[in-house]
Amino acid sequence: MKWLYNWLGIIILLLVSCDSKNNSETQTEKEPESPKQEARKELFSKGEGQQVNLPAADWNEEWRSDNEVIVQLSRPVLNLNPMSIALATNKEIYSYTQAFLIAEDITTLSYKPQVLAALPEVDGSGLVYDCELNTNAKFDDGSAITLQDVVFTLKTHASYRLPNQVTDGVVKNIKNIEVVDQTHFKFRLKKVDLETITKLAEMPILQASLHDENNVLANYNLNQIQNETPEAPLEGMEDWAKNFNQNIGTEVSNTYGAGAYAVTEFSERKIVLTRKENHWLANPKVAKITYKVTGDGATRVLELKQQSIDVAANFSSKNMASLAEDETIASNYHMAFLPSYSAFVVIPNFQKPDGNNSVLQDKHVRQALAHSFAVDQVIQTLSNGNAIAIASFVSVLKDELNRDLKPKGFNLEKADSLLALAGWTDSDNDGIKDKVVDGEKQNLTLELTCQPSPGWTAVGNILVEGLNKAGFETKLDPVDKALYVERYSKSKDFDLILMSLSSSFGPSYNLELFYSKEIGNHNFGGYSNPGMDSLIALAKSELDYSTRKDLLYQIQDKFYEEQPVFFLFTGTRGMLVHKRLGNVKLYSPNPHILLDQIVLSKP
Amino acid sequence: MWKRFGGFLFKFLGITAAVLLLTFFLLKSGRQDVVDRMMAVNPELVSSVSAQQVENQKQELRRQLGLHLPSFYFRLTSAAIPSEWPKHLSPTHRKTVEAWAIRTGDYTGSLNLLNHLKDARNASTGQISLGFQQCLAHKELQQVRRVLQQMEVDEEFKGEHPSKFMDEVNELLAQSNANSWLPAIRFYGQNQFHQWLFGNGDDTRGILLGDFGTSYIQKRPVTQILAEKIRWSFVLGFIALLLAFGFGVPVGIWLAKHRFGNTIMSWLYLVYAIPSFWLATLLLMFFANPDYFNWFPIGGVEPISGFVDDLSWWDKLVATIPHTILPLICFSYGSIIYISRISKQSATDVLNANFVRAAMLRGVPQKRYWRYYVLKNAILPIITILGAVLPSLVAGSVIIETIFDIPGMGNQLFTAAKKADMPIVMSITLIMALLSALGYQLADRLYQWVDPRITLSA
Repeated sequence: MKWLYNWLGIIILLLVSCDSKNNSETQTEKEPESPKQEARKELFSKGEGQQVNLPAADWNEEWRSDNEVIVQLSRPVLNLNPMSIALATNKEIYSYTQAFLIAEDITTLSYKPQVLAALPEVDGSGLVYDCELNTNAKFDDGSAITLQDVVFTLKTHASYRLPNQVTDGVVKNIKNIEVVDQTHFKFRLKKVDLETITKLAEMPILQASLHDENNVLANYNLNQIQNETPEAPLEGMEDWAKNFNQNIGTEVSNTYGAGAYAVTEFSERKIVLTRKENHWLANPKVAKITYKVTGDGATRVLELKQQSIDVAANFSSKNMASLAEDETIASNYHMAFLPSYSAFVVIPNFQKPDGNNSVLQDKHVRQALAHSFAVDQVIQTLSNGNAIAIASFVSVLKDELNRDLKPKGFNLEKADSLLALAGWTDSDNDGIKDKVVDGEKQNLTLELTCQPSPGWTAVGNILVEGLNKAGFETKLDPVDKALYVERYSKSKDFDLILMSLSSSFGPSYNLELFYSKEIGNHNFGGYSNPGMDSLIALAKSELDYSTRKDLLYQIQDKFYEEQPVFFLFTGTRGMLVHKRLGNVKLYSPNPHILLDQIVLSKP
Repeated sequence: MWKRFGGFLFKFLGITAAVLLLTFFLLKSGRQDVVDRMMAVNPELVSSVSAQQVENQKQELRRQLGLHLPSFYFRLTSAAIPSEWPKHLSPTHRKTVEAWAIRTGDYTGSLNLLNHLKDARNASTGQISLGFQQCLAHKELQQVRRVLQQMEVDEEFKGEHPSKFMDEVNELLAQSNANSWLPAIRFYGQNQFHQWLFGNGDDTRGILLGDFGTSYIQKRPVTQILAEKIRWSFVLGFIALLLAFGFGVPVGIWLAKHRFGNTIMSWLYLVYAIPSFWLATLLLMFFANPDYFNWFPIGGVEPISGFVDDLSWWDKLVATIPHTILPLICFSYGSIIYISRISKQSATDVLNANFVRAAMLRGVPQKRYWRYYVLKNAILPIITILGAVLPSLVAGSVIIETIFDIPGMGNQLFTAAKKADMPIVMSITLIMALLSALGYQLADRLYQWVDPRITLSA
């Protein structure tokens, strides 16, 4: 009898699995879109410009009505050291917990004073910044934010002993600080830098008495702190730096900030910000902001289905489409795509360590490459059309963009003729272009390096397919993140490298990518062109907007012709916001949403 | 007695040391330097910091973390490499100098060349700087010469710089490298492993004195981090252990008695074969999903918003229970089935044994022979499992804790291993190794206690 039970069980199991297989087959068959699906497409609010207004929703009594916003993160925040502002989530959190001399205002795409009483007055030379402190600005212990605190902050950012990866170049450019009185000071730059204001908005003001009890930094000036090879060691400096690095932003008790929110809970899984009452800086509407970290993709979706999350981002276009198909999510969440300042680019290498750079040195080959990237296919296949093909280094959201320059587009005929001009033909009809160099036949071989994540490799595979159709012999080389960084920043061991770049509404244009003075730093490919350099040098120091715009137009014309870097497309950012929240506006610059200004949509 | 204790200590320490060394060398054998990994920032960062500045920051961070020291007490290398460790050099530059020294037999000359090239790189900008940077990246001196030649040919680079270095390279290449072929063992009193064991003599005391160090990433004492994590792994592990034995043994014994025991057991095997990560996902999909049964929260050990202020410990406990049901099922289902299988097999073997049959024939009451004959003998193999599960009580489960977002040791180990946070990985490994060794020793003692006929040789 035992064998009978066993076999019966197995037969039932097989029947069940066959049934489920049939079901799944039915589901995967491509069907015409139903009216319901068509209607769901309209759920996405698309931002045409910089801002998306989410429509008000009728209140549902089942929704939470507490005055707390819960934000979903996909990666943990490992420390809240104010020097770690390079990380987008850290920067977002600091915008609520820290005070800055000046701060970004994403609603007006400008800067607003915080610890300063007004924006700095810049003189005609662009070198002298005249600043007046806001006398209302206070730390949490009630003490006023003084000039000593500002100088201490600048010195902290100047020190190579701290892992500051954003601002020290700006501080190094400060020639001297002139104290007019206790609240009034001027600083003079060594050379004009348009990004000074941008970077000042990335320096949380630190309380000198709290972080430097022994007044170590007060004993040294900016130049001494910056000097990496001092004649005599700076007494107490090493200990101070070690102590600062290890004892700030690691737990709730040492996360200080003069912003309108305090960190009241901090772990790898969750960060809770609680509103400070009657704060000098602002009057936030939300009492508590919770950042909940969920790494697993399926769990992130379930959290949305359970409506335990208020704001979520970082979903791909494909995922957003499938979320829109979900009844629960679609009826409880606003879904929006925001145009972004980021750009996906391919950087060609002109500085290979083996000296084999001749292929990419040829302008015609680069132009042919520009016509061989199947950008539209990437946009349609991977982004469901929610991305924009681009042709310039200037963001599509900026007025400085020369809109007459259209994306090159995937055009095999043009690529073929351009390659022929460069002497590359398919002499043996094997589908790969070749050329005789120094008496030897050489194939047109290139390797495309990218990061190993599925998203990057998917983009890379489509691009490689397009290149191979155009006659290049290309293969994708996904490498570990650290090796990837090492390749473009140090070893220069790549032909083409795929990366994303960000920009902001400020006067930054990614010009460093093809400026020869930045070779070895941010000119990762090593492109050099004296004509382009002189224009870039002028644009980087031009204070007058319209003149700068003219210069940028000229650079874009040259860039379009030269193709030193291939700007492929700019992505859009998908966001979900629970309908229980009203008065929600989304903006293109990070962090896209002002969480502290949200109110419930409950009447 | 002393002999046995000595044997126990030898095995105990031996296993622990072997596991630790293995973990240490596996972590160190990673291709990437941990500081490079920590400071690997996306190019999308609009930065005003130069590559040179980042390099200085990295070297400073290495010094602060003690990573500027050699890894271990000794290494086998070429006689051309001196015993003095170049603390001021980054790992990449150290490897470059050593490669040049092995090629030329002249370590001092190689180090001088490297320093001169570094100075030249720092003093120059643009392509000239990059040229020198490329020289520093090449481990073959011929390649360095090629780059310098290229720099000399290029109009832009013409000047005294490239030719000056070319002479230095040629001089090095002309030297005899006879001593490079001789092997040498170099000893380092101060090294990372030593510092981890005994501290740096300044602000750390070393693992042997209970100081687990500071996390590279979180910058907090490892002891503090693990103290926060261990309670959840322990609580869940302990309840899962109780469930495993509480259900596993009775089910096994019952199956041994039941006529369909084998059939039911084979079905239980099918459940056993389901991987825990898959079962965890299925449970979440069906029991934490408004589309099916929205009975349980998705993850974590408390509501996302946290507990309401002034909640009593009892209310907190009640609020926590729903969060633990699904993880506990995943933690314990495998053990329950495994233990029931072992129990069933042991019970069946004992039931078929002559002494039990004889007891039955003698008319020993059923309750009595089950309790004194079957249960006592059937429990022996289960003790083996008890020894094995002891480490899991503390170490938790990497997969289940990650899926259910439980802030336990497994989750912590996963995060730390991904970030190469050596102090945390080493500490958790040490704890697991100690508990494993202890668990198996405990199991041996329990064997003897249950059945005094068993003797253990030292």
